[in-house]
Amino acid sequence: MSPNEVLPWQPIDNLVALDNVMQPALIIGKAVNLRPKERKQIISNFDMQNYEMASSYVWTKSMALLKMNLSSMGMDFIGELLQRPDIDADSDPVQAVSHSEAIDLAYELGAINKTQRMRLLVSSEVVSHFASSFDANDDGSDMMLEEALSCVKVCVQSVLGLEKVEAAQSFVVFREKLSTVTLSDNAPEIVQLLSSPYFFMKTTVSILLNLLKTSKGAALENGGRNTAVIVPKLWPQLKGPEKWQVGQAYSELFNDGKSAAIKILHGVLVSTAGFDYVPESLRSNSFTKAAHAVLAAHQGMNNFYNEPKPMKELAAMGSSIPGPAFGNVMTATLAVKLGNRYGVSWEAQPPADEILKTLTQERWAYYLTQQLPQDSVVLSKLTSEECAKRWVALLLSYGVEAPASDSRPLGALLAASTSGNPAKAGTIVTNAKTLLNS
Amino acid sequence: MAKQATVSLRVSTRGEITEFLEQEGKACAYSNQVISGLIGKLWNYREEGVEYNPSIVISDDITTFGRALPGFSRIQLGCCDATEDAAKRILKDCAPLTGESSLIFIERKDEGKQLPYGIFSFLRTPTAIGIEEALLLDERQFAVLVKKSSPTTLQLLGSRKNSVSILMSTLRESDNSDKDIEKFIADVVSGIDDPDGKFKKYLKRLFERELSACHGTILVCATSDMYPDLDCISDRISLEEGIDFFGNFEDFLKENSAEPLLKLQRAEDIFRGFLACDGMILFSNTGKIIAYRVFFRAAKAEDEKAVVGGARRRAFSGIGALKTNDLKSTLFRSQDGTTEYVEIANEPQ
Repeated sequence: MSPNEVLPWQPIDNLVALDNVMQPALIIGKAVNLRPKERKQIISNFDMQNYEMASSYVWTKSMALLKMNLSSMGMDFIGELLQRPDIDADSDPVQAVSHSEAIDLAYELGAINKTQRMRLLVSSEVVSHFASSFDANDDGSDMMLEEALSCVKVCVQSVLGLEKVEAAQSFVVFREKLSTVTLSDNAPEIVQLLSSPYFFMKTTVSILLNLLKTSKGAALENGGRNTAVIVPKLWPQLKGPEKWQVGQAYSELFNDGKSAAIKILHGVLVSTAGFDYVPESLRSNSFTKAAHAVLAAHQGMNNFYNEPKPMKELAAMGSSIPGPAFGNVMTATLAVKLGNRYGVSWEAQPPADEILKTLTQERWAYYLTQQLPQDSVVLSKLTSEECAKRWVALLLSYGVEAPASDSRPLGALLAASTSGNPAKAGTIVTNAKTLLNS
Repeated sequence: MAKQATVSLRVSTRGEITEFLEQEGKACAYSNQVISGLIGKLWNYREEGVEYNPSIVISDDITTFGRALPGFSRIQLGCCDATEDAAKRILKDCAPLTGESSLIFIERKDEGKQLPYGIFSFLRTPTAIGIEEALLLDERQFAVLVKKSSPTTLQLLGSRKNSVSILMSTLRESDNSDKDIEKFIADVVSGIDDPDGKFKKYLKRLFERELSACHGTILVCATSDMYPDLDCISDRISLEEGIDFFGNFEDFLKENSAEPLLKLQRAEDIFRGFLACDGMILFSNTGKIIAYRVFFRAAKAEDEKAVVGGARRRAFSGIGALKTNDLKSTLFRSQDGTTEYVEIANEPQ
């Protein structure tokens, strides 16, 4: 079975019909994954206009269920897909995986479609905003019925209303094959992989590297031979973060004393001239962990209050950001700088600036061309005008120049971003949406 | 009629080195000369009265060799012609700068006639692969490691897995030392959980490194953490909490930070100090050193007289002949590198 045999998202008719339904009882009635008592309480909250409580509860249940469904593929596999070395087989999916990671992964694996992803990400911000609001005297701070319905509706249509979220079982099968069979140079799976969407390529790299790190005996032999065949073929198409991932794996294997595995990866790096991507040390793991803590705070409840501490810790780790962690650090820092449609965390701004001011033009160019196109967290923010304007101001303040790009939407986005003109926010929003949905 | 004879290893050594280089794909008279010179100097190299045992990597391109070693950095200290004096000059300039983390490199340029040289280091943690394994990563790349593996043995290792051991001893060549050390280590870790064998691997590397540099010792393994209640070894310095190698190693694996690494390095320093002291070193079966300067006293004088050899040999025989449930085994290492392992018998029922 090839990695491309992922069933496209098929909407369920009775859930699609919810698009035009405005009655909470009818919407919640379709949430088959909620107990009757829960459904009754949520409807009751709607009747009493406790919209924050109702939507917050539904949101929390949805995210927990989505993560549990994803975890059925194995948490170590989830860690590979997310390129999170801190996630292993024993990790708790609900705690270890952030909402945005779960939503992005569900989209990449075909469990939800583009629109669902966009709506879920928006709902995440809305719920988080209202959950963080403590000003009892501000009448304008109550959640509106439309906002609550929108959140609840997308949760039911994407997660709670589905009997089972089928998250690309073919991935599991393909992963299994990479450890049990040695694929030949011209195997149909490899030929097909070379023309697959980028997500499949980077996932394959993650699977192979994990096999080298964790397997033994025949699984290591098969995984090793497949690595030696597949990775060099994919290398020209791999982006910087994935090449760093290979180099990082080499460093980790070297540090762990895994001679058999490291010999295989050594051969790959020789044939691809990829040693530039081998970091000098394993500091990147610490940076990645710290960056994830920032992102978790940013995407969690009460984010404006919770962001400063992890952001300061990340800034305190120093300005020499190792290559493998650079993407994660930029995502976390920019998330804090751009904030959300409700504003930014003021106290987290100075430590975020400490990190950004050390970046050279080359590093900015690397991020903008190699990582931004895949950075769904930042791209999602750029689909909002408020964040897009902050983005323009940010790049202007750091004197960032637009690097060249072959991609039209990326080129247009970068040109608008570095124009210094907030009126270009609309162009940024449009092209961010295009990149996000590509 | 009186006869004068001279025995020189020069011819046989040069011959073996020639064959070794041919098998490594680098038949080169210049390199042969340099390696022979290094061997001649290394087996007893001293500067200002201090003994040095540097390891040396000879390669066509040290930068290419080093890219496979995370954290690689090099400092070139000089360049010389590949003459008979090259080894002397290189060791003079570099040996005092080497240690556990730094090795000497020699590059072959201009078909081996020119030799840029210096020192290099790379990321070396308790679990990382060592230079011997790193050498084997790419057999297409010429690289030779010259090192002293015991007080009387020099080794050449090549990237194509060829090797030559040169024994500066009249003893028969025998290479059971690896197996003997492994058996002893198996006893030292028998009381702990080491599913991936990482700690065992670490201990093996530690023992090989330290025993090859020491001038003879006896290690003993107990069957628990408690010091055995035996009259014959009551003379000792006990370590109340022990030097816990396994505990520090586990902390390092969990935290992967500087503090447990430093603690582990401190433990290694202390172990090195114990090896320089008189007496035996007692390990528990949980990866700890629980006593040092342990002296063996035979129960009867006749027992000592039966053994031929120095005090260390007599102590080893005495310990090895014990019948007790409190000790598991003992490992003997002589000054000339001879290694012996003896399992200690249990008390009769």
